[in-house]
Amino acid sequence: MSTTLRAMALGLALFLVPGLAQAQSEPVILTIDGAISGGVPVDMTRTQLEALGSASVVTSTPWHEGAPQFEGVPMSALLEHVGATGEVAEVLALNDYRTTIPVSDFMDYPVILALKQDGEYMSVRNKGPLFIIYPFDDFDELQADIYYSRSAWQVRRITIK
Amino acid sequence: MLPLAWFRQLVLVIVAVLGISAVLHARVVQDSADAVGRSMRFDVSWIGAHGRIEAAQLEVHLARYAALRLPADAESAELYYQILLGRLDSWDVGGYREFLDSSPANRETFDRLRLLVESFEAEFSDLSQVESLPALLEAWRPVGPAIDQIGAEATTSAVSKAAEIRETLTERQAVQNYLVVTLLGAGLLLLVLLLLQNRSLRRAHADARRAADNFSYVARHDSLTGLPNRNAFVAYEESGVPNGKRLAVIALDLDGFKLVNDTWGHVFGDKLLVQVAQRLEAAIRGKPGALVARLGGDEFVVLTYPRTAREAKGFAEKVLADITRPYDIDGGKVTIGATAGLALADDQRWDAMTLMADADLAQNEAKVSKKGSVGLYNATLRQGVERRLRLENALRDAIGRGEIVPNYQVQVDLRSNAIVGVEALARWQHPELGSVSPAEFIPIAEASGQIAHIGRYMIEQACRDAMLLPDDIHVAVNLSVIQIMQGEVIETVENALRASGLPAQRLKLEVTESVLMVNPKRVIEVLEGLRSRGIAIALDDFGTGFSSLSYLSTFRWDELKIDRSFLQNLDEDTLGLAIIQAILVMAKELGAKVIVEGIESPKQVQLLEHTGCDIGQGFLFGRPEPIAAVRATILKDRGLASQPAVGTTDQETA
Repeated sequence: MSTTLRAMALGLALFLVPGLAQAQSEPVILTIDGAISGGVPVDMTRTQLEALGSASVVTSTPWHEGAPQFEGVPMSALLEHVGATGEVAEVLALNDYRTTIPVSDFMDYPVILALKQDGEYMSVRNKGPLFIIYPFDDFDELQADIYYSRSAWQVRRITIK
Repeated sequence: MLPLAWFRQLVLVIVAVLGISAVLHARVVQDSADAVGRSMRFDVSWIGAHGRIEAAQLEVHLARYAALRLPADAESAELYYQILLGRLDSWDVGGYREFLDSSPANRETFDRLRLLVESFEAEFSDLSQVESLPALLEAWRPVGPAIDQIGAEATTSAVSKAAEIRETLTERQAVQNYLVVTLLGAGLLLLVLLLLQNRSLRRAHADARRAADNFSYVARHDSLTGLPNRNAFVAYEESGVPNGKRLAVIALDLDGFKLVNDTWGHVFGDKLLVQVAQRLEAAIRGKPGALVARLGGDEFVVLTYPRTAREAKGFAEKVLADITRPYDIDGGKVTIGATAGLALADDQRWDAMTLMADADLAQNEAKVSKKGSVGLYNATLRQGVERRLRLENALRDAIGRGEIVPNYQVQVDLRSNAIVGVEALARWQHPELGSVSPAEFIPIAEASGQIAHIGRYMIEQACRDAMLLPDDIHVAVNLSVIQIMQGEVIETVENALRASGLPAQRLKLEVTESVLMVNPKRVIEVLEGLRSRGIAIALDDFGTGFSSLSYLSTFRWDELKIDRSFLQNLDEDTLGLAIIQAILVMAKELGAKVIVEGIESPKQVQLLEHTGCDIGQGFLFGRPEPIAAVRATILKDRGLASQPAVGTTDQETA
């Protein structure tokens, strides 16, 4: 927990330090590490994430009214981008929530790392900025605790193992 | 064995139970799945716990910031504030909101909690601007217990809900168990029923076979004596005639068995038959291949394999002797006669059926010629039967073809030697067999019932023919018992007289005394009727048969015809003459004339002259001749020139 917050604090500190590269002006919202190409953790901003492509999922969830439209990066595209070679993705959220997702989920279902809900970027209060969304409504078998528990919100870090 | 209707209903019920159980089971399984699904719904206590942790984190960071004043702690606290807000937002949707709404107290607690948390929005937007952090910490303190309270409530609710679901599941499982047991039970019951049905089918099959066997035995055995019956005999197949032996069939028939039955009753008769059967079985005991069968009534047949004809005859005689020994029945001794016929296999006739027919024939012949003996089959017997059959068939059309015509034999007054009458005798000229004697074909006609037809024709034709003869010549015609019993004879005679114009006084009807044995009252009635019309009645063949003198007193006979047998040895046998004389004395008393038949020699005439016989008939005076010839004879006798014969057909048209 503290590591994350420290890293984030560092990120915020860097963001706040003037004179740093322009590219660094946008805050890092996701860090991917573990079994990825190069072995070095990859930090990503919203812009960088959005550059990886976009997909939307309309589904109901246990935490939302109705069936909102979620929009974001396909998890498969994200993992491909970083050259992930592991079997599982360990997801850590801002609130220290941890969950482990088999990488195969991202091949079997069009799972996205959502940035927007109903066209709006999600705030921390609204479980943003990143929310792993499974297409629950499209696949009956996904409407189960195990998938609900993998559907982490306020995602901050993904570690491939 | 279950009644079929019962069985069917039972099976139907079981199948219905099976079906219903299967449907119910499927439904219960579905219900259980639903219950399991409910239990898998997002766990309210789980998100409740997360809220508590997030609130605690916020408090930790806030306290650290208050103590150390590090900006990082402030940021963390600010972040956790946002996270907590998001958490509270998420509690007000879906399953968690359901829980909150389930009790007003929960809802109130939650709403207060949210208001409380949201009231710190300004402080947590920038903690560095907060004046008194200890005051904020103090103000924040109720947030944790409020979340705990809701969390505890949520846990309680989740636990009770889980318990409820578990209970439902347990119940469903019990029902499922019952249903499975029912299914298995019904299946087992069906299996048992199937086995039962199979067994009863097997049993029914066995019963049917036993019944068939039994029926086959009954069909092939005589129920009274237990001997094989005619069917069995017909179906009997010789297992091969042993070397040097011949197949022999002995047909046996009890003599006078009908009399036994009539006298002592059928029960007695049956007992006798059973004992006869036992003796026959004993007789063939130890003779390989031999068989005794009862063909019906008192007819038995024995099949055996003797070496020679002599042995066969010996055996047949022994069997006959065996069964004619006295019997003990109901404490009394009974003796019954029997006659046998024997047929032996030869090159032409070797099968049992042919031999049986032959043995039967020999037995019938023996019954006629010598009761109580063993008749041996020979070819002549067969020929006789065949000739009889042939005659019987030919007889049907003989009159129509004009083959049977009356011939006439003259009757002569023994004192004047004048012809006084003729007797009409049926003569059958068969196109192939030639002349057939009345002695041969009349019994056949009587047996086949054609005698009435022939008799009527004889009367009609004789009346017509008599019209060709001189007025004082009477014509005699024989009447058979059948004609009399049929009762049409008076009408027939009247019609014949009317049609021909012959006066009744010229017609004479002859009956044998055997006619009177059948139904004397009826016969005499008919004869009286005829006699009252002026027709003379003669008693034929007098002296043979029973010769009961009572016939003579019960009816007024016009003539007595003494049988030819008394004439045969008249030369040497003085007894015959004495009898004739006695008859003549009696006839005179009765007012009847006497005719003697069968006169063949002048010597006989000479002897009879002294007795005072009225009329004679026989070859000495003339053989039976056609009407034209006898007419000529009569005219010649009277010294008259023979007139051209007038055809009978002209008479008819006249």
